[in-house]
Amino acid sequence: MEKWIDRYVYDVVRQLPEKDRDDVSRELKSNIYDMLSDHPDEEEVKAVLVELGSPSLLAEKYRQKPRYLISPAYYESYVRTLKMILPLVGGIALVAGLILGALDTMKEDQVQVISLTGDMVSTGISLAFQAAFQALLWTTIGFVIADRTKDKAESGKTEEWKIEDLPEVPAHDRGKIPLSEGIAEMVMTIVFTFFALLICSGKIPFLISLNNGDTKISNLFNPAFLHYFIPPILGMALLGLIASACKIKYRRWTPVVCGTVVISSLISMVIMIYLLNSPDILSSESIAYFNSVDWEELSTLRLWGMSGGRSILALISILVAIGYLVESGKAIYKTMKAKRQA
Amino acid sequence: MPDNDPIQSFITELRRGSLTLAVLGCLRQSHYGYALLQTMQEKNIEIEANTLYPLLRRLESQGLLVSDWDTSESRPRKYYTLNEKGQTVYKELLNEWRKMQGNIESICREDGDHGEVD
Repeated sequence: MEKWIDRYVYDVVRQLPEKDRDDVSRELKSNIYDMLSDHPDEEEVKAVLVELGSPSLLAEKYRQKPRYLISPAYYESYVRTLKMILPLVGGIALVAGLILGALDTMKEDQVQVISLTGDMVSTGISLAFQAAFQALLWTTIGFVIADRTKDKAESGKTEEWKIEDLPEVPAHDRGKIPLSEGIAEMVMTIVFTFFALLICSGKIPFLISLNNGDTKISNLFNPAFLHYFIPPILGMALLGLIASACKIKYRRWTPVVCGTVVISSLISMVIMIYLLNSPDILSSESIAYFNSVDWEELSTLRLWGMSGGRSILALISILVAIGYLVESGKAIYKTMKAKRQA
Repeated sequence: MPDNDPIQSFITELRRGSLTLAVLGCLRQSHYGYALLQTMQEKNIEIEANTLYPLLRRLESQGLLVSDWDTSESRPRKYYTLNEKGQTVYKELLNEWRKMQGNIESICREDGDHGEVD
């Protein structure tokens, strides 16, 4: 009979902070015994405990402050961001997984349709799940941090404020950066860095198969050289994270945000171009392949194919440069526009 | 409080603040938890045990109550009483409550007079 009371009280106090447990336990037990007659039977005890209601609810009332991982103020945009990121990251990883699965199977000499589809689907799904899980984890961490730091910043500000400190309302709210944009970028950076690191450390083979599987290159890049990619990739990830952190902090195209985005893009661009053009990047087998191709057949590529695939890398470099320059240009354009409207 | 009923949730919200006042009022005399629950129920104030006990603890941690464990009886009991700060808060709240009641009465007078005063 007493065991029910003990179990009930234990269930309540185990959900409370350590320092409150003894006191609440003693108070609650005393109150429960008062609610019982002098010689209660088991049914009476159970009835009183049922009257007190669920232990979790009671514990919540004792805790005084509701506790949130992500406060209601942020919950909406958290869900919105997840709805945007999860299908995107999951989808990209699924496609990447399908391709990797296919390449993996085609390495074998006899390719059977069933094993090919099976491999594609299983690799695709497992990669999609891994990527979606990573995205979920990092989005949540991002929001939790944003929530916690915002709380501190705001509680400091609410103490004293002057009418004059109120920000001016921009004519159009176009300079605003949605919170979801910063967090989405942050998550994408982390997820793709994660996979890039897996590839570079040799955990996932980067395979390529050409000419209907006649020619197989098991390593497009020089495996020894891939290890040198890791520090620059981490560096670029850090820059990307700083840029998205700025977007999250200011939520507006201010010169600081713009500067950070532009600097981060330009540095990443230089690193990427340097890596792509370094002499040891391609594996010997892919250099051999590029040299063996009869470029006459691919007349549009003839110009590019003169030095063992190096020109293809040059083409990729140009695309990468365009991507980063567009990103920087967009940041500058939006900042200028926001400034003109203010 | 499993009240999906919107009316019930309005009532709960309306009641929440006045419960504190009722508890403070009762605690001008010393009470232990369950006795306070009974006193309040005698006065037709609907309060559940799982609301009252945490509320007592909160008021105590806010420094409005003094408490004392009485271990002389067979059952140890924790007695709560208003302290000085509690008295002040109680008086302020009561004034405010009377003022608010008057104001609401004057706004809602045409709807009949449902002033439930104890």
